[in-house]
Amino acid sequence: MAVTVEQVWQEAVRALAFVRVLTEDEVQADADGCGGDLVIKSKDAEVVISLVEEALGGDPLVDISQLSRRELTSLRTLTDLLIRRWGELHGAAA
Amino acid sequence: MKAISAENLSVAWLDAVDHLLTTPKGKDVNLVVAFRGIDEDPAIRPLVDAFLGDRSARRSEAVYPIETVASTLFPESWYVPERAAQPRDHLYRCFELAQRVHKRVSGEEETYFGRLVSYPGPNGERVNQLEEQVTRLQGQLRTAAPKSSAYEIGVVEPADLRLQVPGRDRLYMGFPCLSHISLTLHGGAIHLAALYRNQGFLRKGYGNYVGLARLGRFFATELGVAVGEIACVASHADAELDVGTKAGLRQLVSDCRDALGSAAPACEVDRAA
Repeated sequence: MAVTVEQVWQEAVRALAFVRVLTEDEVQADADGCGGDLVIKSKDAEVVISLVEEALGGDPLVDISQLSRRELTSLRTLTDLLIRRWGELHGAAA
Repeated sequence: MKAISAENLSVAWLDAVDHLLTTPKGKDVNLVVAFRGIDEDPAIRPLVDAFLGDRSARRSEAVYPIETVASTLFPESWYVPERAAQPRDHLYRCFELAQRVHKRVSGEEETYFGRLVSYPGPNGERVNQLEEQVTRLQGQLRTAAPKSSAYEIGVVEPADLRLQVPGRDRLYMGFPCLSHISLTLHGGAIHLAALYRNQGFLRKGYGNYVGLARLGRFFATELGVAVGEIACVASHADAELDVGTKAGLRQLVSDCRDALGSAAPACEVDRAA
């Protein structure tokens, strides 16, 4: 299974839409208005990671104690990290 | 024992720290701090957060922002009553999802909010205390409503949220510092009283008050009542001079007092959106 950055971003948007009880379009529009990224709360990042991991097959991808504040508060940075870890785990380039 | 009562949580925190700065080593016992409602002076939190950030940079041990401390008690961004069809269920579901990831943090298997919605019962079962108390208090309100429509009869219904687990929490230091929260429905408002066995006023105090205010707002929203008084008893209160220094804390309090009212009038504590 190949996973693209765009697919993981979509899963992250879907997850954040769930947390905030918004539509995916609303979240994506917010991100578009913020230059393609969104500031999120670190508590919300935990839910996003959980849902993205679930969508990517269920393997644990990150230990949040090792994440930087930026990785926990920027949806784009978090997405990049998740796909990188997924690639490392599955020996596949993103 | 020292009792402090203030018009909002910001002034309450300042008065408490002021008091601790007059005590030996910045410590006292049975410090009672109460504030009315859930108002906060918007000028104070940024100053305290900036001070915490400065101290964090100087220490190897993490010093967390107020928002993080507040969210450990009540992660309000998961409670969205204006959009979620079942806002309490949404809150609990987000917690479950987050726990999968949160558990991977070494040494932090449990959180305060976890104890509220997944308290370990005596037979291994998990008890959602928050849900039980909301349901119970809603039932009381339904019973009392006809009487209060004619004369404002106070409905006093004590309820408890336990955080400390007897026989299990044996650490001399650390989690849980908050042992217990009592809820009282009285005079058309929900009142909270929290008992801390140890409360660090620099690193945790302000965030504790914000978290309790948001928890109070949750109950008020679910019950359709106002937030009354929030009181905190610190069995052991510590200004944390080892983190902030006496001179540093004095300057912080002075800066905060100068800033009171400068940003805007005190208003309801912000939503963690």
